[in-house]
Amino acid sequence: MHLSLTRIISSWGAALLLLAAGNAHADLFGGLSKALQESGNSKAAKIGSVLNTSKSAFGEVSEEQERDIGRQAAAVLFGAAPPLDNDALQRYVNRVGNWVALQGERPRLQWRFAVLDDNDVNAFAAPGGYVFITKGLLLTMQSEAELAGVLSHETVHVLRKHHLAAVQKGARLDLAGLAAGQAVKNDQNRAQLEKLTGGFKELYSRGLDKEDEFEADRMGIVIATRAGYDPYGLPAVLQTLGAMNPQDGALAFMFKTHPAPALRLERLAPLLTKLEPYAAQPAVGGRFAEQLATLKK
Amino acid sequence: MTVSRWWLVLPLMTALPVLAQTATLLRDSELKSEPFSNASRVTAMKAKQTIEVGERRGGWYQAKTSTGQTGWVRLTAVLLGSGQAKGDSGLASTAQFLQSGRSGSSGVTAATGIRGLDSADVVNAKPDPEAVAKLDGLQVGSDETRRFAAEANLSSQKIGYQPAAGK
Repeated sequence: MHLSLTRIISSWGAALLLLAAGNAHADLFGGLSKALQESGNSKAAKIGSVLNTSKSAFGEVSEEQERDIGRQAAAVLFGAAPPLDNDALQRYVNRVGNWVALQGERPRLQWRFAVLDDNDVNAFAAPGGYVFITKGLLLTMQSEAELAGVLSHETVHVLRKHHLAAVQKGARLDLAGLAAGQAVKNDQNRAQLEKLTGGFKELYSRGLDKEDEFEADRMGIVIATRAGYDPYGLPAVLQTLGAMNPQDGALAFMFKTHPAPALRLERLAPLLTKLEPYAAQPAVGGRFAEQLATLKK
Repeated sequence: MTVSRWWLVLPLMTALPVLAQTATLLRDSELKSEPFSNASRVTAMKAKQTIEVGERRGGWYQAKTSTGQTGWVRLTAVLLGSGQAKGDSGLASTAQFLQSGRSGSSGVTAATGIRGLDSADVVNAKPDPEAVAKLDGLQVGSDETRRFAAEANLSSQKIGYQPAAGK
């Protein structure tokens, strides 16, 4: 009993359940699904039904659940910055992204890559295989190897489920708050969905743990090198970012949510020495420049 | 004069043109005669010393010291920029990187420049599930992906992950 309770508390679905209800009741997820259908939001209803299936699998988030949680997270990001209206460039970034994703441990995920129409310099990932890069970051780059380096870094956040774990952790912190006597809303089911969206808003505005970022750098450069690119793509991007004026508003959000470029380079240095035998792999400058030309028009 | 002639050669040598720029050494490092770790040493350089760098070849930048010696320096041994082109922010912020581990100003909004996507935009975002659904139209098959890679002579390598330094 004690063991199963621990498992329930550690699970994502149950954390939401306890958040809203204070006491576990199996009908709640079904109730969420119903309420969402009544609200006329079929996408949201699907989330409810996925949470419903989680009753039988409290310990681990299934791939399907992860996908639907990721859709919610991706919708938040698109709400903050819309996708760039340039199909050719979107397709190009998807090809590079899919190629690097094939080199990781989850090649069969439905990977989706998107360029955000924003001049800020940043990139994001969401559970289930979503990766985003801003137009502003693309415009600082000189080669496909640099793009591959950044996309590889982001795919690691998905491979290692960094966001899922962080949001789960956040929900537990909220649990403590509820126990301390927060008012329970009338529409508990709606509150659950808002918790999910709210959790991602909070996470994206705060950023991941610094160690998660270092891990994404470390594994990311290996993935980009596995894909046949010059291993120095990501380090070159970090150099560019480090050389930009840190007072530049386009960098503020990325700098707030990531370790400093110099520290990231410092951490990568020993690994890069080991990747030296691959240093002659192509950076693919020409194809990248052609694609970016459509952006600069 | 010799200084300018040295830099004139660079654009001809590089596939990815990079303008000559100032860089600051992060640690004591050697200037090498060639972009290889076992190449001969041209000179020893000190941490915080300012040099000029140009073309990148693999993990090395072509480099020139203030006394005019030329060679190659490891990419990971330098940080581009010195503050000379950016008022007083550059060098001070390099020091800030090294001391605090965080770059830039601590606030969300910056003193200069255009404020872009930030925490407030994310917190106030109205989720857009339709835009997410549209991404499915960009699906790329694995055959197409492999063809795309082959076009650029990219071939897969088997390389294991490395543990974090010191672990």
